[in-house]
Amino acid sequence: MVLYTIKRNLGSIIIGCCLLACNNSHHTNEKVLAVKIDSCQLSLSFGDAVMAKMGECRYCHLRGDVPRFEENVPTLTELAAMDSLKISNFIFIGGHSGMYKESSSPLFKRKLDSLDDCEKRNLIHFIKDYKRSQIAN
Amino acid sequence: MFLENFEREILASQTKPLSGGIVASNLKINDNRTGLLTLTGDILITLKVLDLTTLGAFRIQSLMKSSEQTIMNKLRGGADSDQIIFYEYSSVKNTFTNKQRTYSLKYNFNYTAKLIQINSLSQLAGNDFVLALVDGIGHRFTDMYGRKYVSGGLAKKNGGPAAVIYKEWEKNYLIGVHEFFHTLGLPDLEESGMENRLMYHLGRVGSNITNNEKAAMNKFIMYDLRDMTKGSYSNPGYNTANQLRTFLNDKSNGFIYNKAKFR
Ligand SMILES: [Zn+2]
Repeated sequence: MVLYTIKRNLGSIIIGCCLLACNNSHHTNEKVLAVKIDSCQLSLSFGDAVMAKMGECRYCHLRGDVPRFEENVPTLTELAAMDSLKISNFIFIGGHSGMYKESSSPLFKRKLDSLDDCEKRNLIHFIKDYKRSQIAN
Repeated sequence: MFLENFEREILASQTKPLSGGIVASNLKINDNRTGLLTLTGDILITLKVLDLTTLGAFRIQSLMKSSEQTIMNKLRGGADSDQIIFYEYSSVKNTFTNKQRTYSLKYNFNYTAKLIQINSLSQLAGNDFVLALVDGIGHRFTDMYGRKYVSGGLAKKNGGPAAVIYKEWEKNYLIGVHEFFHTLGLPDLEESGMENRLMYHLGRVGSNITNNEKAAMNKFIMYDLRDMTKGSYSNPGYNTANQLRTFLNDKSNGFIYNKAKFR
């Protein structure tokens, strides 16, 4: 988990640096960007809370070690095996089309729209943890 | 022939008492018809303790008693879940329909916890929870601020085995409870200001459990809400003995223990 966090943060910093290099002449943008990168900490407890706030995904996306909920509903472990972009697409765009179709679930849509970028990243970070070692101290 | 066997098996499973880490009975869903479901029933949580220390765990009985009390106290008293999006519950049929519905959910289970000392792997069923007492743990970890720590205990989250250094457990029995709550699905806390929380793990553990953490453990324990309609329930197999073997033998965990006792 820790290693992964570092990798993610490094990733953000590298992306941040590229953007900074491109926008070298705009000093105000640099500051805003730098603050934004530093303020989002990835933590499992935060991701857990975001998942609960969303209406609790785990009642249908059950853990991988137990029988699945329904044939076409991926388990948490299966979701975790996808790359972050694919998970993000599944949650936030199209992929999540079963009972959470926008038309049938305005509440879910509202909950989705209420998430800020950092909450989204923490949610995905939490899901990805189901594919990591699961070892905790 | 096949059908006969099948029938016999079903009969046997009906008469055999349920066993395992989670055994639930008298499960009921109360629907107040204004969007609140309350889940009730009696749930027994059993944790088997295996002493793998070289010198022996002399205070094991009293430590097990304190841990048992704490696990029970932390789980008791009910917990409110965030608003959930699930399927509509029909109290007439005692079943969930396939229509979507939003509910507030209240867990109100009557919990009992039991810690049992075992002496060999043969006393470990596939769906048991286990806490191993070891001599040492070589595993080091880095927190979110980049600082390094030694481990007093180690656990595999979401149903996996837990272990604690016996000497550390003697100093503070809550470390064992902390590790077991990883088994029940709780993550660690590292943020400053959370030092009084049981799941804080940077150099010390506190003792507080929040409503949200309690709800998360309830969620882990009754992971498929549809099982609530069956009246009784026991958890599926985690292949506990094999998981424990893999966990203890994993070099990156760095366990030091008396291998002769692992039998
Ligand atoms: Zn921990």
